[in-house]
Amino acid sequence: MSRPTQLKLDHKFDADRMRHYLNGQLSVLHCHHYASLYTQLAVDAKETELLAAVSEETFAGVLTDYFDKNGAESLDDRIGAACGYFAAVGLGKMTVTYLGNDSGQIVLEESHVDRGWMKKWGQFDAPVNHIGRGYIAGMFSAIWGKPVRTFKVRETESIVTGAEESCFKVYKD
Amino acid sequence: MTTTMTTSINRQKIIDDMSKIEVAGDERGLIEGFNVFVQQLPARFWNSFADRLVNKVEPEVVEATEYLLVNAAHECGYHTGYGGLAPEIRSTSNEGFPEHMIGVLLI
Repeated sequence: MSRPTQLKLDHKFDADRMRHYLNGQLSVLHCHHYASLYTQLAVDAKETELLAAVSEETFAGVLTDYFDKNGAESLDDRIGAACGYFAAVGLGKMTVTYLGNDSGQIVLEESHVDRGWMKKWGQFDAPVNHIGRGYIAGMFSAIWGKPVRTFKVRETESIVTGAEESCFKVYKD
Repeated sequence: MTTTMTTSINRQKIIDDMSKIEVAGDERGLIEGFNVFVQQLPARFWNSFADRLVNKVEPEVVEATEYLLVNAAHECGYHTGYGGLAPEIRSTSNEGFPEHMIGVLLI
């Protein structure tokens, strides 16, 4: 299942307060060092679930808001917008392999978190894309209009461990 | 003889220009520039994780956690400027919020 990017981006800059707004959301530019160090901190503190949960909550809200404001009601529109937003903000190239009510599969051909980690520290022996994992859980919640924590996401293959692509399985308990 | 070193770098202009930069992912969904990968995420994502983590960890590691969060911003600014400019950090939150809740970073 391959979806075209169908995303409307509205970027505003408040020069007085030095603030960027993307589709009405106060947004900030950070580099891979920042994402890698936050992820490393989450790993060291054994709080990767917190990092994924915050990501899930944030992006479920962002995508739900986008769907509402742009009349994205069809599954195609919602998948296109979700994959498009992921790419537009620099998180990587996402393809939805399949998406069902209870399960799904996502492939990342590119990933900011993985590429950034490898650029900073090289390969790692475990998945590190907890931000992406949370994004996917939030995306499924937003697409189906379900509360956060409805879907679980497990990363089964990772670019950072040497795989060509990252793969995520989505399921309900 | 006294020598005064002058520089042609207009630091404020660099800061102003970089602050206004508009970016979007390329065909790979990546934003590459200044020898780094960049992303543009909602400020509340970073702030929420930082705040919740600091409140969740044991009291004896709060200071170290806060230091690592602030250090992440400093490293990001340092590398984004090719190590040529010291980072200047501003919070996206209102005045009075903890320093670890850093949303906007300027070099």
